Amino acid sequence: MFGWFRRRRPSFQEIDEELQYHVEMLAREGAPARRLGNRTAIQETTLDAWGNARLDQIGRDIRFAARMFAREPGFYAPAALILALGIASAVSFFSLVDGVLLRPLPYRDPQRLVTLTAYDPKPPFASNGSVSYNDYRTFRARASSLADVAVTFRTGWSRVTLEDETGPMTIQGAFVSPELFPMMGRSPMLGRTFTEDENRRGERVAVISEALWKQRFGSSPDAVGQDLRFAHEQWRVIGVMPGDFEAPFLNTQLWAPVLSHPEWNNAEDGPPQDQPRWDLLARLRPGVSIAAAQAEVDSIENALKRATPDLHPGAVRVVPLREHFTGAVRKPLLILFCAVGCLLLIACANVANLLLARATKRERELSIRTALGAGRAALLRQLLIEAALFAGAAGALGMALAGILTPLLVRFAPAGTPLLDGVSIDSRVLLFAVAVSMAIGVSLGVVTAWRASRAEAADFLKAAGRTATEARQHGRLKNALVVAEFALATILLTGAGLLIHSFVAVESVNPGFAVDKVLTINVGLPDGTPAPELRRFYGEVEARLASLPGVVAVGGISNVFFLDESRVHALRQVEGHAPEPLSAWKPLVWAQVSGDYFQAMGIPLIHGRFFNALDTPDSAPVAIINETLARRYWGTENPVGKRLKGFDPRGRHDDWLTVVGVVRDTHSGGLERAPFSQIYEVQAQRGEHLNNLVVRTSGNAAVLAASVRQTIRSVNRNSFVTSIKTMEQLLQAQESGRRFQTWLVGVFSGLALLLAAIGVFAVMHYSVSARTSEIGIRIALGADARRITEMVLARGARLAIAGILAGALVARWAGEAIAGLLYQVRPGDPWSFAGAALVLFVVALWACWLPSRRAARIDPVIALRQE
Amino acid sequence: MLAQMPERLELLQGTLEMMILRTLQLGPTNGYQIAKVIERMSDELLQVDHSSLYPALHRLERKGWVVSKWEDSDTKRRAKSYRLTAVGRKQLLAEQSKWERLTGAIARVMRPLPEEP
Repeated sequence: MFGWFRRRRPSFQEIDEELQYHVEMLAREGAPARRLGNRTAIQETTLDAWGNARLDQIGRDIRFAARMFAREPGFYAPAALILALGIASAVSFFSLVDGVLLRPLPYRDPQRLVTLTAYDPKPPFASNGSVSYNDYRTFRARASSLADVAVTFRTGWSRVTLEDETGPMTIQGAFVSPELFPMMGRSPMLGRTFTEDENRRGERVAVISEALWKQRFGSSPDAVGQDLRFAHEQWRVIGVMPGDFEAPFLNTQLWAPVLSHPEWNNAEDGPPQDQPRWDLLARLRPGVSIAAAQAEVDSIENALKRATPDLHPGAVRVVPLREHFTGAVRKPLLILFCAVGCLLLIACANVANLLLARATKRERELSIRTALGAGRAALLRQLLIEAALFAGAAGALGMALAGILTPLLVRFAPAGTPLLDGVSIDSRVLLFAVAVSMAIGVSLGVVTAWRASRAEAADFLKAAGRTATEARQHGRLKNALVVAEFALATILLTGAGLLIHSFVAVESVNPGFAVDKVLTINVGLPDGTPAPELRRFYGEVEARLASLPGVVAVGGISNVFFLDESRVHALRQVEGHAPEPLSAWKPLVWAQVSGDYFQAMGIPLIHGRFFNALDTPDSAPVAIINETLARRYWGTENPVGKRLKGFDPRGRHDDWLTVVGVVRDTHSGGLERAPFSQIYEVQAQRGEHLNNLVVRTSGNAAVLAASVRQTIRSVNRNSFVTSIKTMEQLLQAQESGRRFQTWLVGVFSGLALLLAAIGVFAVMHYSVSARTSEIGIRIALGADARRITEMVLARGARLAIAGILAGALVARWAGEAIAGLLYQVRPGDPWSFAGAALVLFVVALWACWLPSRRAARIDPVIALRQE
Repeated sequence: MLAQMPERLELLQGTLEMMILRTLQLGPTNGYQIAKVIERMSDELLQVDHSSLYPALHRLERKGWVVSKWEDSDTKRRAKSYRLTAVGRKQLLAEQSKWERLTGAIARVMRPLPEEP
């Protein structure tokens, strides 16, 4: 049985061999070979028995096109490369957009997962997005549009410090209710998750992430049942969640039952019911829309508000989980994606133009084929197949390039971009690439075929004679493409101008503190370390660091930056100043410092004094304020000696603070925001933990990192350094989103500029060669070289200007769309527009220069002889 | 020589494929042998048009009624051998009964007219 084939279309050679045998057998009998008949005819009818003559024809077309490409690699390779670059940028950017914004989150029915986020419809109210435990229970019991609700406690910054002998480390942890796991529709990869019973009993059990499992237990299956130590207790590991399970926070590494939290584990009445310290995740019932769920949540929230208005200042919004995670990066990503789209369109227009110019050169070939009887359909098919093959090759090359670009994009993506782990070149991205390449192939085919279909065989032959009218007529499409290229390039260049302008403006902001030679150290101590010990620790660390060679000043602060701060506040009481009305409230931040913080940061003193060793828990409470706060309450008066009371609404710190100094403003809210009002207290009096140390050095700050780490460990073995960064690195990380956008749009517009130049060059070059005889006549009639040069330059300039004007109109509108990304630049900034226009215009003239020189050098005798 | 050859009959449309299938019922063989066998079985009355033999064989193969494979032959050359498939066998039976009904019907029409009384 083996070896019997079924239904395989044989090759021409195979049939020939079969017939050859027949002929030889005939010859053996002495019969003439002609008994078989016409061999070629038999071969063809035999092949026809297999049908598919059309496919065969297409195969021949493909071979023909491939041969044509191979014959002129100097033309087709650069064109394919241009297109491939366009496709590669679009594809790799799509993989980013897909991974971050589009791909369904890895949970059951992810579109039904939402967060319930408290927010303030109008400022003076304070809300950090969280609700109270009581609200959680109310929503869970009463909201019928929600299939289930899970609750998460926001532990400080949701950080958990592991205290094992392997050395302390701080990770993202979450105290959650047990329904979270089934609600997300994911099960652990090892062990189990905790039960409602375990939660109610507040048992110390923990589920860990795949990453933590790998790091702490070397991915050993024995991890389940072992202990982790944090919050001064032992916690038993009961399960491991897969790496892509990122709830309720991104990068959560550890989950523990919400009622096991040490703060209320032993409390009689469980967690505090009315403090807004809880985040809610919920699953909508099947068929329930976001709007319907929102309506029900609103009515429940209104009922709660009537009962306890103080605890419900704002409203609760139902936010899809994806939006909750990616809301902040959505717009910049989509804007960049549009920019990539512009670039791809320019590349397509460019390649279409090149192919059209080529088609003109091929007119003789096409006209001969028509004359020889090739039907119009056959010609169109040939052109379409050429375009498809060309786009297919460019697409394949683009796909390969995207394989290099995508990891680069992920690597240089701004710090904190969510869901980047999911970005990869997979079947969805592949499908996108194929769809884009096919669309391009069809469009290119239609453009060239449409161009060809307008000319009959006779026209082709005539056109081969190259008359001036012909050039003008068929030049229209090419001109339109060049205008489009310039319009798109104008949009990109204007956008890049606006973004670069913003970037430079941000970079040149004076932060109000020293950036060079400053080392910032994130330091931790076990929770619950008593205040006197804290004070000793900072005193000792600061003294020892200060004695290191190369260290100029050392200080500590609770928060260097307040990047997420968006609320407005007022001081509760200011001596000699009426309370501010709500409408006058502004941002106000509060930090405690120790040691020589201001000296280390290089923040100058304006009035009064810095803190000193005499400011102790037993002395009168003092504060240093910044200029903005001084102006806000005391205008031009010197505030030193005035007294104020804190803004803490719970009134935990009710003492009067005396202002002893005024320092310069700093951009502690980020470079792009105006300085906030800021109050500094001294750690010695306030007694809380400081997370950051700042070291000013006389030389390169980064080289001190190792000895700083060692020194801190030597003071207290339980302390741990989470990160050491120079101030420059910190600021760069804050601006990484802006840098990413600016760089990408800058690179895109550079490429767009290059492509537009190639486009106008190709068209003018073609136009000059098509009009050789006309120009020859002009020269023969006395036009001098200067006039001819001007004529060609003027034509190119007209195209460029038309494109620039059209592009500027769109860019004006696009500028409004990116207004949110701009800093100290208006979307209609005339300099950006004029700059883009000028650059494009100059480049267009430069690209037309060579063709114009060529035109001017045309020898009328030779030109006219061609006719 | 030609004059001594018996008078050959032209084949009816479509009967060649049926006869090829019939021949292959005897066992797998190549195109040349198929032509020979048909001629021999018809007592040399039927002459196979060699030029339509191969298109017919390939049509049968495409329909899946026969399968083929290359076999070494007694000459230096490989010969392509054809074998009846199960589908082909079924098809042959159907064709055969159709053929018998057709020839029976034609025979009935063509039987000699009764003498006029």
